Amino acid sequence: MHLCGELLQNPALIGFLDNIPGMVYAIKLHRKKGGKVTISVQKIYNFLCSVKLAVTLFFLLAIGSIAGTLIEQGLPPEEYIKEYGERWYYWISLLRLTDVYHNWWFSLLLALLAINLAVCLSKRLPYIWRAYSAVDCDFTHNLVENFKHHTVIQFQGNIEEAKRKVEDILKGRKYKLWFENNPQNISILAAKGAIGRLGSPISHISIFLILIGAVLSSAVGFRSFYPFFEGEPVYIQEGNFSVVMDKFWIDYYENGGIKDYFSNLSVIDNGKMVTTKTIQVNDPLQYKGVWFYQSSYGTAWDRLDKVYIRITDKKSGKVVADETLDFRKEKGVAGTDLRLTASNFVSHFAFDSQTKQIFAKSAEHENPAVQLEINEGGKLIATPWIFYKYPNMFPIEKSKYNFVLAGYTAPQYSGLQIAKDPGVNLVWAGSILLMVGLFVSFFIFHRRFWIKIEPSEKNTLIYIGGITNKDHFGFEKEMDGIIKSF
Amino acid sequence: MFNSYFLFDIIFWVYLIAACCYIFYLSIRKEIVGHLAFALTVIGWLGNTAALAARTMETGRAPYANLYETMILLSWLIVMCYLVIEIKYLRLRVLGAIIVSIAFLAIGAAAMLPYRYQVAEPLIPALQSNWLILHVITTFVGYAGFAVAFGLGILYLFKERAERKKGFSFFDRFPSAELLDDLGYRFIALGFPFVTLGIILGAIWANYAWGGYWSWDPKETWSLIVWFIYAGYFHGRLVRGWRGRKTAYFSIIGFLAVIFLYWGVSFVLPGLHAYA
Repeated sequence: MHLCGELLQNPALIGFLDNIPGMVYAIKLHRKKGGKVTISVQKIYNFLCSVKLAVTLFFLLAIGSIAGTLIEQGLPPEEYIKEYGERWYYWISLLRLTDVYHNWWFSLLLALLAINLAVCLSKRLPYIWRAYSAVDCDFTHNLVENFKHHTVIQFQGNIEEAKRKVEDILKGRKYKLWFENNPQNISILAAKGAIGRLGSPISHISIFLILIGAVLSSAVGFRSFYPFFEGEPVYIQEGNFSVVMDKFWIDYYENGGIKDYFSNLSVIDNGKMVTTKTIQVNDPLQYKGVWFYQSSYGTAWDRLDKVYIRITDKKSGKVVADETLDFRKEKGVAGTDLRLTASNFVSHFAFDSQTKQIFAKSAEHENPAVQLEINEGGKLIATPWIFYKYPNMFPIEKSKYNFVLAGYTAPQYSGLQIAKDPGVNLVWAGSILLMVGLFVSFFIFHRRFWIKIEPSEKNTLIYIGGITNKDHFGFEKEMDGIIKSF
Repeated sequence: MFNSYFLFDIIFWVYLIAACCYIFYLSIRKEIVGHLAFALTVIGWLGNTAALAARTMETGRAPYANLYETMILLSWLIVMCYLVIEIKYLRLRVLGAIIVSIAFLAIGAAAMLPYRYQVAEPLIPALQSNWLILHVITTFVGYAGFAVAFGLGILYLFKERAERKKGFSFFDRFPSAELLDDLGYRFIALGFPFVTLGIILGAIWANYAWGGYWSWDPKETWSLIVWFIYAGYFHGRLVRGWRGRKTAYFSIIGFLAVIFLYWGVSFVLPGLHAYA
């Protein structure tokens, strides 16, 4: 049985093992014709545990991933039509190539990979375990001579001396030894690096863990972007607490490049401030499993600090006043019967004809506009939108004055990524296991020697034969070294 | 004198001459040429080390924060891999002809980058992290292993053909196809765990900086593609017993994917990894 593990490395035997279920099926078929249930189950099992399936899945996942990087993901349909044309867009949307990594067939491939992994592992684990733990000293020198790497050494001395010599040499090379003293001869089994056998199952289990973690992440985790304005608390539903950004600032390099940016955050739970931290890029805040990452910053698209309005008299064309308004605060204009309020702002003016709503098309200040509430002679006479880039486009008929948006200052927001991910720890656990598995598997080799010591007419014969699971080149060197030591 | 650009220029020429010496050594069987090639490679590598050290001192950070610098790091690692082979197995000296050439090509490609890619800009906020040091070095140890395996894979295909045809051939001096195949495997077996570690460290870092360990950005996705290719290689080789030409093709395709991951994604596909 001790050869079993070794034979498992042998491609011919793998083919044979893969065919065992096939043979079982042939026999069953022979016994009772029409046993269709056993056939299909067997076939599915064969399919699910084949390495061919694994390699095919790697290939398909790679192809899908490539498609996902070549075709930009998650754009609105019209963008694709513009880029590729109607006909191609039909195929792109049919194959769900606009969201490759989350579509049904990509998920299906990943699920198949997980199943393949589990079935394959359950099939191979017993063999691997046996190869790892097998100790069998019951063999003849014929077995030793069957190994690809084997030799016979003429040793000057009796069997006991030969045994001691073997022990010295192999223990010096960190081998673990098992002995069997027979009346006529001595059998020795020497092994090292058996742990290397476990590398493969460990790394496969770890991939399974990572996949489960990823599923957990996307099923229960959340991740969203939120702009924070100074002093405005944001309620975090997922953790039932609030966070206030007290202050935001940017540090610059001497050459004007951005060095880093910071937000001072306070967590308010149950009406009390529980913790505070200055976060920056690469240094997040964590509270109750919810993480706050500094991810960007920008200028507000829906609010302002100050609004500068130039008011001119329609008749004379003279400037009546240059007024500075606080956003959403009514102010009387000295020397007139005007009271003005800058009530709304959009950075990129857009009008939805269906809902009759005005909104900011983007956070860029492409076409800034302010809605002005004009109170003239004690009553509200108009609420026009005035445009920074297009002054005097729509004069206000009911008013004696013209109003021009001369400028404004907008507050900065700090863009925070907020995330809670219960799957992440499973992913890390899987990752650590994966590294352990890979390093064990690739850098620790299971090397074994079978040694038979037998007396001959003149002296003692030492038969040495050995195998390794990997690194045959290094193994030959090791074997040469051992033989030279005699 | 210890300006990093000056040193980069020096190692460009030293590696070029060393690679030529190795190729020359292949055609004339004079050991002295081989010794010269080896000595030049060692000098080039020391210069490469000094260049990285100078860059560290000039910038006060890890010397591999942009495309140009990582190319210098890559050639340093490739040559180091090669020196280990040569010191361990003197009879494999002829491999220098291909591996040192690859290292030279890496330096050459870096030298051809426009100047704005070569200058050491201060780090943007996202890169200011100790994870940078670990993530980049592990990834590039992996790339270096794949690069060496790529060279061995090409050599294998030529050698194998020469062996089939028998008779005198230019490739007689190269190690046997079997040995090239085995060595190629060993370098992929070195590269794979390191690239995996690089991906994992990148995921940890991304999670810490952006709040998500995987966001399917092109660089991440291509690293996964590369990972799949080499994972396929191992399953074919270790389980199904593929050897020789099949695995040689794999190591070539795998490294072409690495080149795309490394250069193609940076220049062709936009994404979070826009800086390198």
